[in-house]
Amino acid sequence: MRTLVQINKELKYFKSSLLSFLFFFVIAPIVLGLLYGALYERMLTPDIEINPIKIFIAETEGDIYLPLVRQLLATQELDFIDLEKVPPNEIKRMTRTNSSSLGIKEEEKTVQILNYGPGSPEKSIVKNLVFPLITTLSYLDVQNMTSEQRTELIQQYLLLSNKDFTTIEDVAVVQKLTSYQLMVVSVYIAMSFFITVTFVTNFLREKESAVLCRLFSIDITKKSIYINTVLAVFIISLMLVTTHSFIAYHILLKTKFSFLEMFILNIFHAGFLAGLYGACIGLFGSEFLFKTIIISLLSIIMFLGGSFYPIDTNPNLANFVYLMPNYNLLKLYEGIFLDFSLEELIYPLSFMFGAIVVLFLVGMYKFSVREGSIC
Amino acid sequence: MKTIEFINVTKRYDDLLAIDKVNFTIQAGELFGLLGPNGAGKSTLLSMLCGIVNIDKGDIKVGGYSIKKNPKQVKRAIGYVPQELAIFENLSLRDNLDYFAGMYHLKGKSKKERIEEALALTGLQERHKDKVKKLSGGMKRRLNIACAILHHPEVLIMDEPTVGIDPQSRNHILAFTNQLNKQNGTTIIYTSHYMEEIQSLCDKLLILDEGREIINGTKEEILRSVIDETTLKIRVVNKKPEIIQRIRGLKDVVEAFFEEDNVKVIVKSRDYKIEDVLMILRESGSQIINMTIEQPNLETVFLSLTGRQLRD
Repeated sequence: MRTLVQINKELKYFKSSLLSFLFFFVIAPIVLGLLYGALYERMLTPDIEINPIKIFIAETEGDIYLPLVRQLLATQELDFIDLEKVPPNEIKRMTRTNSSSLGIKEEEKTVQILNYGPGSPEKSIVKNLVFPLITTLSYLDVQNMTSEQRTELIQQYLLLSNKDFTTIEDVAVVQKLTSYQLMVVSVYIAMSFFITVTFVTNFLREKESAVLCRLFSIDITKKSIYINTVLAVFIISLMLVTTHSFIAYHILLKTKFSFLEMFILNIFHAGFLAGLYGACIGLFGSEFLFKTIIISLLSIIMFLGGSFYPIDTNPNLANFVYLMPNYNLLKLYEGIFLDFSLEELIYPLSFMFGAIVVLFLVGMYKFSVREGSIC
Repeated sequence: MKTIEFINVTKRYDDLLAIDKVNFTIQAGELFGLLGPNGAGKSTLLSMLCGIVNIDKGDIKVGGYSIKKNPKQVKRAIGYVPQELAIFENLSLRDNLDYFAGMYHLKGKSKKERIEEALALTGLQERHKDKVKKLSGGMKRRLNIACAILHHPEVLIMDEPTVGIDPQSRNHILAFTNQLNKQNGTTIIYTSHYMEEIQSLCDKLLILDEGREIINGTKEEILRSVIDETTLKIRVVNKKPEIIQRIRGLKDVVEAFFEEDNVKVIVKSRDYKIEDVLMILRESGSQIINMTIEQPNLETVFLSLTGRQLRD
């Protein structure tokens, strides 16, 4: 019955600060996670935009290579190239006038590319197509080729230049979270630790305000007080974590997952927060000391566990990452989203379970024996 | 009704002997005062009675139950008002009372009634929905007490309940403390370093200093056992030296002398006759301007026994 009284009291406190809780532990982590996700997405897949380019070509009757160059650049695969035939005496002027263009002419079996403007990706592509083509053609008897042979040669060349993407290769597919999923989960795990910080601070204030002294004068054991308060924090954490999971992953990210599995994971997540809370109220006597130590500790955990950046971008930390609760929780979320088997999740599951049990028991022991400094 | 016995109670914090072999008994229904300066050991003694702090040596028994062996029985009989505010600032008054009532195993209708009763007794009914952080210091103190009387304890322990509050709230607290004792027969242990509070409220008391019992008994017994004298201080005009000799010759006068414009006469507390002194002054032609009678009080008792003032 006293457990219910304790839970009821914590819920009243929770209710009195409901908006703050929802903002800091549901809304803000989602917004931050999406922001970090957008940054990560951009980091992984930088966009290259190909703009149209004007190519002036001064072709004369005696040219050997230029007809083939024209034929290459006119193919429909290179639709960003706008090819224009110009008289040989005009090509320099026209290329100079349009600085984003290139001019191509042939003089005494030598193909020249004229460029009077700054470099661009489009110009590089054209140069990278034309020069190897000329080199290839210089080994062939181009002059005696029939029209069909020339067309086939160009098609072969294009095929080689494109590395023939039509070929199917068997590549092992690595299942990964999307940038948004990864960062929304990572940021939330990190920010959820502050649920614990909030409740521990509240508890230490009660401790300083002699509420605990009064409770110890009532016929209730220290262990009961400890268990009741940890249980109350567990229930509130579970409510927050579940709400976040539903809104962030189901509604916003539209990720498919089993609700039952997600709820079990949420229990692990909330259990860790409650365990951490238990250890903190057992170990710390003053709010100042607690905040100084916990902020430093959480900063280290967040850094080593890769909470605000993708951990795979920093392989130097690979040795520590398996000991970080945030990383192991992330692995469990990943497992739910990507439908991993239980065997694949056995390490993070065992780690989290062990951490919860150890934190809870350490907290209970320290809370029960600290007679002198309890009030 | 429960008698409370402190038997050779000793407590040590590292090198500091906080309580040194304290022995006394509080009878059921008494309003018992525990007086001493800050750091005398009052709160430690009460914390041991409540089972918050362990006793190193000796024992405390409430109604025959030892706090060491039967803490549950002892704790059920007591209500504790700590020196610091033991309430939740973020919750309303009613929520605070509701929480502690639940902790005292109260439920349903009886819980509701007890909460109303506590609110009425402490004069907080009108503010029951307000959050504690919005209350004045005096109201918080009253709520601090209300939380301790919900389960109708046979023994109420009040550790400095009036520290740092306005006179109105102090008077309110003193009044309902008296009411609880006189009407409900609750045994009350009241600690304070305000001598006036203890002197006006308590029937019996114990003075504690540096963890040791200085004196223990009824107010009158303590005052008489230490100082059995009263000082009359009479301001006169036209004082004549021969009056001192005549006053000294009166029955029960211990000493008489001039002090600036005053004649000071020390008499036996119980038996002196003020008329005789005044008659001598009138006959000698001295004109009396004003007169004060300095009764011995607990402050002078403490000064006399320890050589220090209570608020040192």
